[in-house]
Amino acid sequence: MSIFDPYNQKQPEVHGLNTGSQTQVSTLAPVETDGIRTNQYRSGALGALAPFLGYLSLLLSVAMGLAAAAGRMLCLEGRLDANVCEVEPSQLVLVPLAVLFFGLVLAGIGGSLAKNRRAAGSLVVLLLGYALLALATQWFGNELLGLPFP
Amino acid sequence: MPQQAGQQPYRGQNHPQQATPWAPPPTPPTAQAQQGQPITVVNTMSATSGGVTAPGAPQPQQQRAVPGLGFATFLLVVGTIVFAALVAREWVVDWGTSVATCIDGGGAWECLSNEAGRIQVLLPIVAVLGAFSLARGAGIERQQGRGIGWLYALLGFGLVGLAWAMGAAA
Repeated sequence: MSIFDPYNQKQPEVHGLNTGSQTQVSTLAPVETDGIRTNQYRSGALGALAPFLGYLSLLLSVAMGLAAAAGRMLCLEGRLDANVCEVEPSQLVLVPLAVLFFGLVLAGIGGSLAKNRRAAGSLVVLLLGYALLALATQWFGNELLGLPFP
Repeated sequence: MPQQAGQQPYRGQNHPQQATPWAPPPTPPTAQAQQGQPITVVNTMSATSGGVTAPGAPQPQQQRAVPGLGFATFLLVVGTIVFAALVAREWVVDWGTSVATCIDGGGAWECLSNEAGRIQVLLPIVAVLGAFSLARGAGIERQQGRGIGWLYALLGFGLVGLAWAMGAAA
């Protein structure tokens, strides 16, 4: 186990205790198990949802940033009177950046898990990412902007 | 430990005692007696079985292929690009000019966040990104020779068609 090969895809040489056989078993090599052989194929659905999460987080963070900037400018011109006029500007900058960072990171993790045929882990991570995007959008619209978003 | 020529290979016997368990395993005398024939060890755990290849290796399955799915995925990607470059771009440009005129006319937030903007700008962008993702999913399934890739390709076409229809109607 190393951070560069966490699933033991490269079978190691047998150093150390000589028991006459492989001492490390890769979880990706086919092992005789009972029951249904799960995780035999890479899931195309997860392989589609992962990059979509990445794209969506990019789109959403850009939309949040532009909405915050436009809201602020309209506030300064005096045309608008909503939450966005009183909210801390640092929040208006940090929330889109956090959405971008965590969305991309979770999409990357979910995509790499999907490629390594770990469907359950990939599904959990991607659901976490989508929930994060939904909650961030809702909170941004209600608390920070006080206006209909998007 | 001395290697005697003609000694029997270790079969059904205990291995000779090693100095420590961490010493290298003793080589059978046959390996040293026949210098020209190296012993090859086959790692059966990494040999492909059941059609499961190393993850990430783009090898098509020899068992079965999905006919036509490659062309359908290609058509999906090209069609999405055509939709984005010709149809959606017009809508975005029109929306931009409408926002400018609305702001000049004295409007505020309702110029930016309205139904027309959502249907003609946001929905096409989401549809294009979703179509690319679904095309990638269909490609993954096609690599493994699974027919469910057709479902993802058709969903991609449906998404682009929905965005086109709803945007043209608005």
